Amino acid sequence: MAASDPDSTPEDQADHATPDPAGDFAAIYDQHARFIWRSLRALGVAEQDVEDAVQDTFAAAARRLDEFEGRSSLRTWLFAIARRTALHYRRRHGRKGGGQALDQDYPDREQPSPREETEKRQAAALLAQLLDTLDDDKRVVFVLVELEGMAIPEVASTLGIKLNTAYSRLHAARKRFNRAVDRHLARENQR
Amino acid sequence: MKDLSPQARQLIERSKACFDCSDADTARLKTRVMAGVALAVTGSATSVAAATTTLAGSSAASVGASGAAAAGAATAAASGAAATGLVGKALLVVCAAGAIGTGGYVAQSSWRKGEPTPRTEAALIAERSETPEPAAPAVQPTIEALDTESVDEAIVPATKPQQPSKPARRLTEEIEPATEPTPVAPAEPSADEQAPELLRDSGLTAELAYLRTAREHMAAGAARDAIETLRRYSRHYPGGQLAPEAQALLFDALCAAGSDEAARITAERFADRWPGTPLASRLTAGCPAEKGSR
Repeated sequence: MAASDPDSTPEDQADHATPDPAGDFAAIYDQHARFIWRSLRALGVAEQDVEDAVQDTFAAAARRLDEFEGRSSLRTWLFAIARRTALHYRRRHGRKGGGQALDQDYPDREQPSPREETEKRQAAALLAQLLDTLDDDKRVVFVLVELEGMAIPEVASTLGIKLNTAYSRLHAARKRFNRAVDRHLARENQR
Repeated sequence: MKDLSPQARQLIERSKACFDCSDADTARLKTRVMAGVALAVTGSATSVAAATTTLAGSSAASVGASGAAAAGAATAAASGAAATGLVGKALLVVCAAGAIGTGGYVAQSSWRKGEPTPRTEAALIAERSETPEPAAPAVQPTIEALDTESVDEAIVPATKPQQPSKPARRLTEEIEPATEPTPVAPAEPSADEQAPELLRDSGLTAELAYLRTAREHMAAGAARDAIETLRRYSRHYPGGQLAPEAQALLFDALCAAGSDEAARITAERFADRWPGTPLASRLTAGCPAEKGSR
């Protein structure tokens, strides 16, 4: 996971320089692929779609690389593209995110898998379902802060929003997420 | 500022790694991504070769790093599981990023089994960039034939090349616009016979060769040859990993051949399949005013 201080992450080192358009895009991929992968997942791309979404994100980045002006970090810029990619995937599937895959895509009885794997999938699906309760603007702030460990000023900069707006969205997102977790726990306790 | 409840924070801390992947995952995906990137940027065989050659040298190191990550993650999983208790039985097992990718997803996802290692596949692509392209068809089918023929019908099981094992992107019914011209059964040249070595290949290698050939036809002003090449691509790779690129190329070829209506339908299907992408925006804008049809 990314640390709060962007300078402390390998992904952000030497990241503000404008890349050579003819340069080594593979190096960009190496630095940011995992961040983009988990960002796409956290933003609602289902597990079965995430590789396509990663590919789409980097293909779009390659096409637009000459538009990158170095004013933001490359990581931030890629995240913005990944956010749009995630939105498209969610719209394409006519649902908010990957949460619905919990029971539909991985039925244990039909596709027996090791218990640990099943539980991991369930955990991912549960988190996706809980994140699905947030609208997109709040979700993005929440994901960057709570999952990626970004500082709120950095999030505001990343998203191009005012600092107060970022705080406000995070506040609302936490409140809603807390309620969603409470509902989940209540259901669990009834079983 | 509202804080997360302890239960919510615990849930996040335990399960956020479930969204992560391993270095092995990204290394494996890198072959496909870089091929798509190379095609997206210039579409030239040179760039594909350069990108994949670079890939061949770099992916092995990425794979090598995953072992240490998995070891550390296993420790994290153990400590997280010990602290479980608040958030319900679904989270009894903590996701550990390195362990997921190297020992988890890869092991249980059937479509990943048997895939070549990233280095091997990349090396194949780099090698392929210097090999002959698929042969041009002996008989030129009409544009109308392209527009109507079912992709699935033309697949010859006995010579069907190995398909990409991941069925995520279906090219079937996508590359062929749904116009209603007179069906014409072209004397389909057997690509299998003309390029058996190519078609025995797997993964992206042969797919790239088809797309490069189509682009070269386009560069030479032979739009119909390009269309035919893409049609053969769609037959052999109905779940092709380069389906978006192939369909965008088909659009360009149809425009160049003067088949604007078929191009429009292709664009609509593209936008439906991959909405909001830069390519979708370009395609839905319609054929350019000037055409270089032959």
